[in-house]
Order: sequence, then C-alpha cells, then structure tokens
Amino acid sequence: MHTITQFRLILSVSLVVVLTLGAGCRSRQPGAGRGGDHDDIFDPMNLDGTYALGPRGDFGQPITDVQFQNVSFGYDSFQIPPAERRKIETVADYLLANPGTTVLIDGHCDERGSREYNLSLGEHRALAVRAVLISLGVSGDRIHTRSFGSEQPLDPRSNEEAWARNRRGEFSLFRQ
Amino acid sequence: MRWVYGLFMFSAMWAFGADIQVVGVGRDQAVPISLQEFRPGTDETSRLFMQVLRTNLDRWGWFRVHEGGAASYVLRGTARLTGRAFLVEVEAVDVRTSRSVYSQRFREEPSEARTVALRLADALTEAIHRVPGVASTRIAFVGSSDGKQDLYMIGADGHGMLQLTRDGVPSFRPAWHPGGTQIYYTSFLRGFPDIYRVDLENNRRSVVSREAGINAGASVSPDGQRLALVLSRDGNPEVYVRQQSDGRLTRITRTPHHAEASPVWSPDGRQIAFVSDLQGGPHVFTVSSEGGRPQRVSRSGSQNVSPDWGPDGRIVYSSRRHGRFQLVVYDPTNGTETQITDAPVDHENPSWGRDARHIVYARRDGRISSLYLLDMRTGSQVRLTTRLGDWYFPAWSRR
Repeated sequence: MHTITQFRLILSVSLVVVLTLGAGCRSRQPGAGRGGDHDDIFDPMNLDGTYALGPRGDFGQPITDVQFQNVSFGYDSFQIPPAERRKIETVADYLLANPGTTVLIDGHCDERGSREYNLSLGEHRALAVRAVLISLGVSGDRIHTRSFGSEQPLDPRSNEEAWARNRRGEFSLFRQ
Repeated sequence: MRWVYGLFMFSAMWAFGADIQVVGVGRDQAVPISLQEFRPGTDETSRLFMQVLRTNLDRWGWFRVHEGGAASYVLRGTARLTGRAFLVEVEAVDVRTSRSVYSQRFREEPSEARTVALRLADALTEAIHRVPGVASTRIAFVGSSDGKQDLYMIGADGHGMLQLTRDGVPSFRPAWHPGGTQIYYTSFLRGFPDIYRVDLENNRRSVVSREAGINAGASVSPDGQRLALVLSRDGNPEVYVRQQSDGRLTRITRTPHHAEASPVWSPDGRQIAFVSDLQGGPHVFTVSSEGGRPQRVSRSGSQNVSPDWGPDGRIVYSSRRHGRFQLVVYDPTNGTETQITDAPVDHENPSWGRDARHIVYARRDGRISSLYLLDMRTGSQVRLTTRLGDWYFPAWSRR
C-alpha cells in the first residue's frame, strides 16, 4: 500500500504540470499516421532485446521538485509527433546529468474505445517514449513504464480538447 | 410499437447494408412443460424451490411453463423438508411417448434449495434440448457504485450479487478457470497492472504474473493447462502463452510496431483470438495457440475489440459502426459477420453463455454501463445488474 500512496502523490504532483499542446498533438483520423513507416515519425521500436524491460524493483525516493511536460499523442496512435520529441530530450538531458536517478513513464489514453485495448495502447505509448530516451543515451534499466489505459483522465470531459489532454505520457522521477 | 420498431429496423438495414440480422425473428422454440403433477411441500423452502424452478424454466427460452392444456413434457415428483435435509425427487416424462427422459434425486441442506432449482432447470435443458443450461452459472465482472473499481460476481439469474474485492483500484476483464472456482483478472492492487487469481473456494487471492510493464488479458485454456496473456516485458505488448505447470512462456505474436490485447481461446484450445492494430485501428485476429501468422477476422467496422470465442465455434466481438459499438458474430465455417444489435448505445465486452445462445454484455449509455443478457434466438434483452453503478467486463462461467 505504501507504493500506491507514493504513486498517488507522484500522480497528483504530475497533474500540476503545465501542458503545452503543440501542433503535433491534434487529434488524427483513425488509421492516419500509423504503421511506423513514415519518415517524419520517430519509431525506433524493435524486439532484439535492446528495449526489453528489466525487473520492476524498487524505484527509490520520489523527486518532486523537478517536473516535465507531458508528451502528447494522436488518436489511437503511439507514435511520437516530431514536436513532442523536444520534451523527451529535456528528460534525457536531466537523466544524463543526474546519475542515480530513474524515471517512470505513465502511458494514458482517452476514454474512447476498449478499456482493455487502451491498457495495451497506453503501455505502447510509454514504451515509445522509453525507446526515444534509450536512443538519446539513457540506459534502459533506468526507465520504467506503466500503463493506466483510459482509467485516469486528466480532463473528465468528453470532447476533442479533453481527449487530446488525456492522450499522454507522464514522467515521474526517483532517486535511488 | 412493434410496427415502429420494424420500420426502424428496415431503415437501419437499408442504411447499414445487408449484414444486419435482427435477432429474435426466429420462431419460438420454447417447449411447453407442465409442473401440475409436481407436488412440493407447503414449507417456505419448497415454495422458494418451486418459484426459482418455475422462473428459470421460463427465463432462458428453452421451456414455457404450462398452466394447463397440452404440454410436451410433464414434471412429476416431490420437494419437501425431511428432518434437516431438503429432498427433491423428480422425473420428466415425454407426453407423446410416455417415456421418462430424466429422473433424479437431490438431497441437500435446506439453504441450497435455490441452487437445486437452478441445477434442475439446467439438467432438464440438457436432457431435453441436449444443451447445457446457464441457470446455475455465474458471471464475474468489474465495476463500481462509488467510482472505486472492484471485482464482483452475480448469478446468471440476477440473484446473489457479491463484491469479491475491496481495493478501489483500476481492474480489468476477469476470466474463469474452466473448473469454475477460480477467476483470473488484472488489477492495480500494487500500483501496476498485474494478473491475479481469486480462488472462490478458500477466498484467497494470489499473484499470477507481475513482470515489468503490463500483465493483462489473462485467459485460461479449455483444458486448464495454459494461460494466454499480454505482456510487454520484451519491449512491446504481445500475446504469450504460459504453461500452468512450470510457468514456461511462449511468445505467440511478434509485432514490434503494434499492440495486442484481449486474447481468448477457441473451444478446442488450438487457436487464440485477440485484438491487434496490425492493420490500422484495433481489429480481431486469430492465431494458432502455438504461434504463427495471424489471420484477420473482422472486416467491417472502424474498430473491432473484446472478442469472445463461443462454445459452438462462433466469435462475438464489439464493432464500432456509425459511431456506436455493436455486437457482431463471426462464423468461421463460412466467414460471415452478422451484426446482432442495433440500439443507439454502446454494446461492449460480450461473453458467451455455455448454451451458445445467450450473451452477456456491457451496455453503455453515456457514462454509465450496465450488464445485459441477450437471447440470440428470441432477441429478448434483460438487464442483469439492477444495483445503481457502472458495471462492465462481464465473464460468463462455464460451470
């Protein structure tokens, strides 16, 4: 239960994070921009072991005085819009400058569609962010992922604006 | 009303194309059965037994309890309290041939009178229709009455709703072990999506899978020996099969750029149906349970999710059509997809009853979802959850 309390704390801290909604996070039509074969979309996922997850373990103490902007996603997509990449670079810079810290990426979806599929999609989003961090030189064992699917919306309303805010990757930092 | 409904259906069929089959246009196959020659005691227990038996013979569409006139079957026998036991002796006779088609003797605690009635209703369905009835089966589900999600269970007859957990954390699709005493499901109990098993016999819960990333979509094979599940431990959500005996994992899908969800077993245990965004948007695929090339099942609809493979080989899933999720049944023998609902609400998480005739699903109207039972033959729909709340992810037990 201690762990859950910690995560609740982190989560509520994360809610304070100011969201910057760039041009790349507007809702897309279903099916658009999918598949990973587009040149303009960074999608380094592969299954050769580079991106395999280490044991979940103990994350250490939460760091609450450093906050990062959420990464936004398109509708039903886990691909990182080019405009969002800068946010991940900021996190990578911090992790590279601060050894002994780890990051937890929470993947979230909007309320539409199957809750169960959204759990997978949210994880895919968190893993896509993780892959970018790894490509920027952060060791994979410092990056953990968690999906909440569509269970924890930032904005409870049912409109395009709320859905865009709710499709996100959130960062929480820990010190070992 | 009926005329208006017919007109609506006609225009709906015209608008949707020809693949809607209105359930309920089939003829009434309820067999008339008479209880007039059955002699229950006058005690409370026997009266409850008779009431539950009568209701459940009428409810599931296989029988119609006849009050007089010509019945096809006659139920004879007695139900009474003898000392500390509740005793039922019963025989069902085919009126045309005068042959006994079923006879049984139940001796139970008086508190089991309801259960005996449900088992008898199912036994009569089996004896006369050669189909296992669903009256005595149960439905596990997830939901909340106060915004905090937990695991619940209810009798298929709507009786005895039970809250199994008091965690108040996000929880996902339960699945029954074929033995009917264990439920697998995904819960954020420890802050992450992990798979747990709830044992109803000793009221215990244990961790089944707690790997890094997601652990979700647990589904037990019909022989109980294997578990299909979704893990992201290798860097991407994929379908795996785990041997129950030694925990050995086999990865079934290899889709580095795509996410999988919701695996379920075929009745023979040779195939797995699941959801993947392999071909743009989530759709239903099947694959050999040993692994191999996935075959796409759903062709229509912008999204197809939450498949359940029925005991007769047909697959039901939730298909997004004209902005709403409708239930669609896929028949692998001829490759046809048939839409079986049409109301302007969302029909989600369908689960087959073991009679291959009834489906339980979550009917979402706005933000609130309730569980409904759908009779595929008569088209009748009955609300199962009457308690106020948001109820979804129903899973129908096989026992």
